[in-house]
Amino acid sequence: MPLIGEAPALTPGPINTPINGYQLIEIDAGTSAGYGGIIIAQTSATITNTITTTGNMAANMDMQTWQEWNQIYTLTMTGTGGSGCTNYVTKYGGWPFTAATTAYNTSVVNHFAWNVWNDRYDRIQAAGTRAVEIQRYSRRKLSEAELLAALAEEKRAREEAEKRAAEARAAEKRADDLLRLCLSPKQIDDLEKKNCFYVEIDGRGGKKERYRIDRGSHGNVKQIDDKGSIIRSFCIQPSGVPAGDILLTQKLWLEASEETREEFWATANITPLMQEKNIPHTVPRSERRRYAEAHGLLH
Amino acid sequence: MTSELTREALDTPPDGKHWMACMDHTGDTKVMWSKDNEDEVETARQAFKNMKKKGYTAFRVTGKNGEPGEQMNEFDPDAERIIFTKPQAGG
Repeated sequence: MPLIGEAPALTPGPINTPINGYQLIEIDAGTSAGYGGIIIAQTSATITNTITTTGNMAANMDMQTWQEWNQIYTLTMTGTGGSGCTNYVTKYGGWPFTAATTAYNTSVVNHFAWNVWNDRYDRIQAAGTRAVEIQRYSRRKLSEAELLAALAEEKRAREEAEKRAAEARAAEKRADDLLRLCLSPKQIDDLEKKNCFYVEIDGRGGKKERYRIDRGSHGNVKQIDDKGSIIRSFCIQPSGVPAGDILLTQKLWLEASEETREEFWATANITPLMQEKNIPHTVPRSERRRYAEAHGLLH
Repeated sequence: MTSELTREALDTPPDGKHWMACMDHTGDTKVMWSKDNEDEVETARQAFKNMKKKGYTAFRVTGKNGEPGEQMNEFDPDAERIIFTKPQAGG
């Protein structure tokens, strides 16, 4: 009989069929049959109470959890109640009191099993989707070691994902900070309110050219006319940098010199927009671009 | 070599520090130098050359009112802010 604080030697057993959203890994507790029982729960049952040394045991338990525990536990265990606790054993499905003289004596409680339940709770929660998926798609039942390894892998994956997400957020902020250093107050205001900012440059033949750089990465640079209508769209960007860096790169290349602007134009995938107003409404949508090209109605 | 690498975005270089920001997946990595510190200038010059070799384009940036950048082909220790952009590709 294990005493309080003693953990019997454990031998992982087979996994039982999921019951009410739980899976039970049966554990043989050495020579003391009927002890232990690790439950990998796939639901988020909350264990709010633990057994106290005195008082009404039932009142000290989260009844739902308690019932769930016993519902599972009694399927695989054959606990024996000590004298004086028969009612509880019966009522709650065979909780394995040991060597007890009264139901209120702490020493009668199978602490190991209960502690296992509680100690594993964090991992039970963490198991979640990963364990379910592994079990679902596995052709065989997984051993406890495999399930625990899956949990560890799940935990590592989550930590890694959170770390990378934090790094990505930091990178976005750093890129935005750098971008703001290079924008005028008006451009910053536009970026915040309209998610774009405007760039005006001396274009070919000394003519002013206006560009709108939208927050984005593909096709986000637009050349616009005096009325703000889009003339053509440019798809050009550096790869592997946050959005703020993309916008700043586009701004610098457009503004710096005629040479950089020419290279910008030469590299970009440019989509000229059609002069829609001059294309008859009778031309179907699928034919409009061809019509515009044939009739010189591209910007 | 005492040039500093920093991941801070700096509105103004501290105490005469000049910096260049090299865009990367972290946003950017900055190299800082004081123009009267030869070691730092040399380190920055070397970093500049390395970035150019990698195909990055350098722009000198001045002012705080969205002034256009100026393309740089040679390192200038007097430049307060230099931004290296990665090569672009058409989408």
